[in-house]
Amino acid sequence: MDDGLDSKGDRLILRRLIWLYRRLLSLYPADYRQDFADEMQTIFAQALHDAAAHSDTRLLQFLLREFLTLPVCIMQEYYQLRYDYQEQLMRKIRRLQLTRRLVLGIITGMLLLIGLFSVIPFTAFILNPQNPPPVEMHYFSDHVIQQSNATADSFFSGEQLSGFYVAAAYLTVFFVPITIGVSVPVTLLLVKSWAGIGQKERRVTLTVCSAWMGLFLFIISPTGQTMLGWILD
Amino acid sequence: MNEHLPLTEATFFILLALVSSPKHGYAIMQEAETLSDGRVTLSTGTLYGALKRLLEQEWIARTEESQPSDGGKPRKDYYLTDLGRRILSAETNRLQHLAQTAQRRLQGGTL
Repeated sequence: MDDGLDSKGDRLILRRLIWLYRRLLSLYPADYRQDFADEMQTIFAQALHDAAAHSDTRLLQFLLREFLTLPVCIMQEYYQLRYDYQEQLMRKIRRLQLTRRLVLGIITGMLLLIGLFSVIPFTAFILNPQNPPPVEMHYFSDHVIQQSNATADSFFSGEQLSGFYVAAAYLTVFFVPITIGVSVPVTLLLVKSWAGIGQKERRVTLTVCSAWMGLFLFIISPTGQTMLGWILD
Repeated sequence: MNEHLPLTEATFFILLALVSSPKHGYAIMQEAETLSDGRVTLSTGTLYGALKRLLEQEWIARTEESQPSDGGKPRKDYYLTDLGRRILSAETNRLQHLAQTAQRRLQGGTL
């Protein structure tokens, strides 16, 4: 076979160069190596033989080009790998932030609803202190509403109360402002970020919120009846 | 489409080399050199770095290993996807517009 290579020595040098190139290819990231190293070695060998068969100058140019650019290409691949990793990490963080907002929104919604319902007996009492809410207007149970009325009565008349009742009274008085104070910014945050989230996440959010509302309207029943029934009454 | 432009010269000639038919790595290297009148001489590392990114962007695709007619080692061919062809076409139009604008100005016409 006449390939322009003069001696066995020349062929040995080419084999050594291919061996060296193969060793250098092992410096690439593993995924890249798995995908391209064999092909790159084949092409390097082919181009090396062609250059050697052409002229010494061509061979020298080829070797300089290959061995000078290879370290740069390897570094570029590692840089790209790091960039891809950072991108993946950022995507995960963004997803986590969305989940955190969703959980926060649901918790705030729950607090708001609980707050609204806990204040109902007191609202009636505050509007008309002489006429506490009727016992038929149950909230949690007859026992609790009686206690609530007694607590409110004592609280607003300035009587000394035991620790539990003071805590209950304060909780009721401050619960709604606090929950509204928390829920409004969170809701605004959710609305603001709504445009930036994907269709799948929107669907999940809507499903969870609808399920939550459905749960409250049809299943949870503070007085043994459904919330919907209580509202309609 | 325009957000991908302008293409680097190496990318442009790699895509251009694949317009006529699918090619393996060495043929792309040679074709790019011929098409650019010897200006773009790709090293193996540069070529495969570019091919990897073009594959990720889905501008080109890779065939399964095929047995070459000369009985050598099995190899993978690369071919241009529709997206790659559209991008190459957009880049060609962009370059053409640039050249025409410069031409008119050099000939003393108005823009």
